Amino acid sequence: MNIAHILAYRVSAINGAMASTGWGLFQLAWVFMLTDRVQEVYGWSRDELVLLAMGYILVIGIFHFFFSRGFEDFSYVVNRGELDTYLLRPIDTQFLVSTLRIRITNIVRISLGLGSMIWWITYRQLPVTFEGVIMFVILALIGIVVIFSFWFFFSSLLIWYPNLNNLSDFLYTFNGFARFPVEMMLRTGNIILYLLVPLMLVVTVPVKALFWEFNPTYIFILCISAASLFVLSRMFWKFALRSYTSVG
Amino acid sequence: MKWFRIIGLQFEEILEYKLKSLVWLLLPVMNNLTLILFWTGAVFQKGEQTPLNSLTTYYFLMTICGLFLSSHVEYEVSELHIKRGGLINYLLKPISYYWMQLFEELPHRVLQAFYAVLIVGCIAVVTKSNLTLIIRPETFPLIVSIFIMGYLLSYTIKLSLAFLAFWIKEIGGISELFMIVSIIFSGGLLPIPLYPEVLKNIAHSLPFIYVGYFPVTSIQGLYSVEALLHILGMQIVWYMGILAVNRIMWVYGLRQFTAVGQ
Repeated sequence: MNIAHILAYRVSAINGAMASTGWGLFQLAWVFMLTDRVQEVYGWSRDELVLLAMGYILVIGIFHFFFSRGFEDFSYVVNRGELDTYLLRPIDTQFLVSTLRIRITNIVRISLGLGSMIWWITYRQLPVTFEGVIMFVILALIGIVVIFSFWFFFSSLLIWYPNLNNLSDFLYTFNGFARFPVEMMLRTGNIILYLLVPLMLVVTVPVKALFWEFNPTYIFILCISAASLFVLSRMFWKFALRSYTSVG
Repeated sequence: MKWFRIIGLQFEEILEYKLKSLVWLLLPVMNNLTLILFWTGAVFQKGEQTPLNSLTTYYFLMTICGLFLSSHVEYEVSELHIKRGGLINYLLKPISYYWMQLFEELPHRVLQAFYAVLIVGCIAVVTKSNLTLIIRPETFPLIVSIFIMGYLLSYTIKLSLAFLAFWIKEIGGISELFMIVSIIFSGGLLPIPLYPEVLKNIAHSLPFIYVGYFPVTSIQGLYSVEALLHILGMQIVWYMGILAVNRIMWVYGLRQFTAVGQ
């Protein structure tokens, strides 16, 4: 169905691929420029920071591939009272809303993230092991659950504020926290900023695992956050649905 | 009088959708605050001197100036007016479309910048950040002129980008690529002197630096009166050039416009 959509709206697909490539390259340019003059940031070496940014391109690329398009359309769906069609179908609405439309053009971004990671690891001869790669995959998948839960939690607000169609722009920016080392927030000593820690573990924990470096506390927080945020977002979604009027 | 009425109506609309306006405001605030935090923990290479205080001021000012100077007229013009045919309503009015759009967008920029001043001010007080602004009486009119020209330049560039929709139905991808280029070369990531040499040279040969970096650094007091005059002169040159392109696009673009949407 999504491929048929791409073939029907080819210019739109080309645009999507261009934007996806552009943002991927932007992340690379961003990290090379930011780390050009530094030895280390919050204990992360330049090599690790670059790999963190590349890991971010990959993980966020996967998230956008599967979910972000559905969330983007969500405001319009609620605003026009079209959520009824989803609620009436014999399939979990949370799953349907977020995955009905996937963004195939993000395959470019995923390839860019993966390719640049492989290039950087081999070019800099970084000590990455096969076991580390396996752990990276597992922890990155857990991380994607955290991002999904955050997005779903915030998107549920659209039931009350359907005109807030720039919420997805906010969430795109919100994702950006995952590009930075988690120690950045921890050293602020600010309790409110600590709420962002689960999001900042989404890429930092998997990237550290590539080097077979594990911080048990971080892994524990990541796993607990994924489980609890997923349950919380689901409960909040069901609570929000009680206020849905189905008239737009 | 009609221009004041247009501005007044736009203010009413913005105040109607306060939450939406707040979300737009939060985006650059979040981006620039994380960059400040990032630099707080950076250990620079030997011989590199980058005073954190100056960087903090730069990012705080970039947040405010970015909200004030960066026009976002492209979606409305390309999608709602050209692609869906809404332009016909404006063509029937005895008012220049260029100025009408400008005065419709200006209240958004002013209000967002006002909110940004409040939020950034609060953050600066809470974090005890030492912001350094140097505006001398003799430079004040020049700095104001640089800001006005910065906005006019940004608006005309974005309007020209939107006019591409006369020929290309879908400009979303081009628009995003354009945004990426403008973020990089306006100094949105770092102050331009910290860029690698090649990128620094490219930045100086593009107009984006006159929308972001130069207005911000002009209120940091980095320039003499002569340097400010040079910046203003370059802004006017860029503006006249882009305005000429914009007028040509408008004249030829209207011939493509069918008024029934695309």
